[in-house]
Amino acid sequence: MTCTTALGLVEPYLDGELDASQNAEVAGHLSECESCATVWQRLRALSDDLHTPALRYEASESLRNRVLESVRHADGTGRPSRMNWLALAATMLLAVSVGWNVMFLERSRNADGEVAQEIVSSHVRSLIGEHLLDIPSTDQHNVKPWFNGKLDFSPDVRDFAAQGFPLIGGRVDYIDHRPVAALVYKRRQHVVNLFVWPSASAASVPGSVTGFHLLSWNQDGMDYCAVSDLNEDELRQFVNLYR
Amino acid sequence: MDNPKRELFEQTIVPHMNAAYNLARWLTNRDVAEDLVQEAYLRAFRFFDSFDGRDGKAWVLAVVRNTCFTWLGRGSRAPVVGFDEQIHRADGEHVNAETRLIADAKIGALRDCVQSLPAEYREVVVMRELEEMSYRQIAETTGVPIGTVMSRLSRGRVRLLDCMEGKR
Repeated sequence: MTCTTALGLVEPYLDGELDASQNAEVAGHLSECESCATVWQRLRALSDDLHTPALRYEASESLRNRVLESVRHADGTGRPSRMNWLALAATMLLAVSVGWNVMFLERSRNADGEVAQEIVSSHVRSLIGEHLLDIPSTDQHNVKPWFNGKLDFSPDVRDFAAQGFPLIGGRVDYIDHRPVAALVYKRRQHVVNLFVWPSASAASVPGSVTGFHLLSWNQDGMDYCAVSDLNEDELRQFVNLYR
Repeated sequence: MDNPKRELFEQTIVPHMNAAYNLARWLTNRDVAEDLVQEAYLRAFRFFDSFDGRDGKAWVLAVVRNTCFTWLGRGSRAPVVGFDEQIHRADGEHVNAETRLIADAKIGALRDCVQSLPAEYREVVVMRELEEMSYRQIAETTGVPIGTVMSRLSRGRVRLLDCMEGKR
């Protein structure tokens, strides 16, 4: 075995990724070649050092409990009943018949839409408590005027509490180099962010990010994009209501 | 009566929470790592139907990683060039606080060196050396080919060795 080959295999050797015969060849070379053995020893020493438990952060008991708690909570309320499925089927039929140009992207193909990425980032930041609401209000008549003066357009603010998507407020966010309105709705414990801005072009928001659903459409000169970790069907219900 | 889906989730995914937290903590910072893990686990649960049942650790770490990079505002790809001021500022402070408790200065140096790696190298080093994941698992988690995992790991190690050399 040449040194070039040996040096190419020394890390897989260290990481236990070689088969038995390759292992034996590399070991044989290392026992004969001092310069390769030096490389190997440095790598192994580094690996040994890194294996110390002191470098590994461990989840706290409270995090563990929080996660279990939230998963149980999501489980208890998160499953649609048979009735919901029927309603859903009806909704989807309606969607087809009206011929909406709604783009649904469930899981990451290529996250090629920077706007989509920004929207999801904004959504995630709002979830971890950075900046969910500038105006917490369940009253659409408070939220709509609040945007006046903050934006050069006026978003259509409506509440769907009766249909299970209560409005909880709004904020101004910044997407694709411009200020946009974010209307915030709840569905059980899930948050739906609906971003609204004047159409820059005919194109709707492309792309997707694993774990989130994005539904975007264009209506009356405005671009809309709803994002949530809700299941697709319920997010579609929401979009149906809004449109 | 427990839901079988949740039971399966608790058996296959929840046990990897240390790995999830470790990765999130190395990719972000102490202030947000717990929130991101919780968020990632909720997402994982909602998308549990897409889990093929093979490798819970690689699967949940992919969700954690995605959540972290989304939070960092960069999509699912690790940044190509390294030094992230935000991460370093946030971490520099409390790494010092934490390392004060650790008698061995070498560990502090190692921690600094790993933290100073570009995220794309840091994540593979953490997965390989701290989590003892195989190349295949790391490739699955990061969504890049095994060859890329190997070259990132190799470059990460070279940088770590140089960094440790510089601290001697």
